[in-house]
Amino acid sequence: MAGRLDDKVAIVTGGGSGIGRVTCQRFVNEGAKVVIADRNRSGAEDTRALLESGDDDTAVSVVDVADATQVQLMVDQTVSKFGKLDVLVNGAAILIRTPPLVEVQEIDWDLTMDTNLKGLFHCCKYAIPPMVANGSGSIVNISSMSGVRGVAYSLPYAVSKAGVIHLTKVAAGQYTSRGTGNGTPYGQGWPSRRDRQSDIVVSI
Amino acid sequence: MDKVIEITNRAVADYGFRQAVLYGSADIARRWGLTGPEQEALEGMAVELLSALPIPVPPEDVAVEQSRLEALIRATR
Repeated sequence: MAGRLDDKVAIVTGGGSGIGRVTCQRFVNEGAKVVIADRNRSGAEDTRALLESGDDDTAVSVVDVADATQVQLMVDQTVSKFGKLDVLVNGAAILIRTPPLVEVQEIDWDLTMDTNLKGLFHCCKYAIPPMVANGSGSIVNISSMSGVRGVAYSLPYAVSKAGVIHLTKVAAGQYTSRGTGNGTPYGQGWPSRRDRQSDIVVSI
Repeated sequence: MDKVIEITNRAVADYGFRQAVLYGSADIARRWGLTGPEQEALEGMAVELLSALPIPVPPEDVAVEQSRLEALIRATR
């Protein structure tokens, strides 16, 4: 059932690979105009090539979400090019394996938090105003079951993903009544990666 | 150059960390407090070598690849 996102404008962070890439593909198939945001330029360009869509319907934004200035520019350029912003998918994240807590290096903690949590905060912070101005919008924050149950191989990642869930709940309470929905899909009960990717899109 | 080797070794063993190095090498250099020549080595040769590795490096090949990359990086300095 294509066309569910006709005329919608979306930013997908982490669009240069993995879940972000297939989200871009699905969004374009559903009729959306998509900004493929990633700090990996070649990955983002590869995604754009896969989309087989014209320049009028897609754009690449090379952005480090940990940098607020770059995120603000990404949102401004999106609104400038497409006239509005309807959907933000926060898919950008890093997973660094770390030893148990006592041996975790502060530098690894900061690197993970800056991308996974502060970066997501930046994207919400700058995406919400144009959504509010437009009267509606949707934000999909991609968390992880590690944010619910924890994983032994990366404490910073698990904590960052738990933070994503909580940020989403609080922000949803603050903005849902203004027309900006905010949901956090994570993998509980999803039998396969393919299904999980589908559910992320369906949850919008 | 020890910090560059340390970063490269981790990037060989951990694909998540490798992505952070490949697409944010300037950020990694800043966080690790690399000197100018160290940053140059990381952003140049180390990134080039890491880009060519399989995803991920099979566990049985990690030590061999770490040694190979270390030798190449040290040989160019």
